[in-house]
Amino acid sequence: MSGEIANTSIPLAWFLTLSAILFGIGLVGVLTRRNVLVIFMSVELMMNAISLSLLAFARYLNSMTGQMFVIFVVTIAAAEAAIGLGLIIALARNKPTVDTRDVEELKD
Amino acid sequence: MSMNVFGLEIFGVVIGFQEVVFLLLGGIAVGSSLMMIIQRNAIYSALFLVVAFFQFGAIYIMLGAEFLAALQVLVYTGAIMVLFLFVIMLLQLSEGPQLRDLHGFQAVAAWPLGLLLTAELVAIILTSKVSEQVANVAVKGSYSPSEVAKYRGGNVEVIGRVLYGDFLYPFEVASLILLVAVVGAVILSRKFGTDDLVAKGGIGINVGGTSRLLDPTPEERTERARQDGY
Repeated sequence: MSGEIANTSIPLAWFLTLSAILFGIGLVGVLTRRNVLVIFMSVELMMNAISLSLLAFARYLNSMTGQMFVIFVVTIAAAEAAIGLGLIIALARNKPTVDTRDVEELKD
Repeated sequence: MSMNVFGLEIFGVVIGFQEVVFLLLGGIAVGSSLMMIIQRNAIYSALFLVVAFFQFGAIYIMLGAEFLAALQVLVYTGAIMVLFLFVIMLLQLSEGPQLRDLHGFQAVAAWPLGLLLTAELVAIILTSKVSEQVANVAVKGSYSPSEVAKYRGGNVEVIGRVLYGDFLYPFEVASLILLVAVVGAVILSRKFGTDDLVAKGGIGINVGGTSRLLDPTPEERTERARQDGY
């Protein structure tokens, strides 16, 4: 059954285009939003777009390396989410804000 | 596999059931991602992202990566996004930021630059004939879908064989990274400035005292020197 579904006739370019569009959306989200948590979520969206691209190539090149890569991307994203959210909570406890305009202490 | 059910053909691609499903999933993913970055309420953003992640999981199944589809739903949506929602609710963020409040150049340039980059990527992908190139690659891997279907455990068994075979070293390194992340998260959430012996010298939340690590009292200095063996 798995063989049948994965024998897809969808051209590879479709998957890559979807990945590029989602990457661009995530990029605009990072540049546009001021809320630290939404910026972080947009970065996660970009990483998922990349995972999609990796899996598309893994499928069309009959390779497992892409899937391995995605497993490690998910692992690292989980670790990064834990640390990043810990940082955000520490930030919010010290200054009662998660707005990037209010954390400019390192700026000139 | 792709029967011409709808009698349609776009750019030489026969639109069968699979293509329709892919367009539906992709459309929902793009739509909810757009809603995510536009929403003012952070909780709505997180929930839209959860919807997008579910679409990703379904697309992964179309690509023959069943284990990763399950991983996506369980780990990404079920753990990471839940963590995000907890943090958003914990921090009680009320109002989201507005685009016009950004620094001047960034507010103007963000959307056009993003659209320009996306248009460039899509143009490169569509004009590079990557679909034909990848079909004509001389040496491919050995895990075609029919090959994977021969294993009794399917995609999961193949991932097990490859992960614990060729990719054993990265696997162990990933576990170390997770350990470091756990230790880091524990340290980040500690308080310093209290009289609690265990919490002295922590990095995390300042509850108003001084850092005993950076500013030890003379007694603490002597004690630490004694412990170091001087």
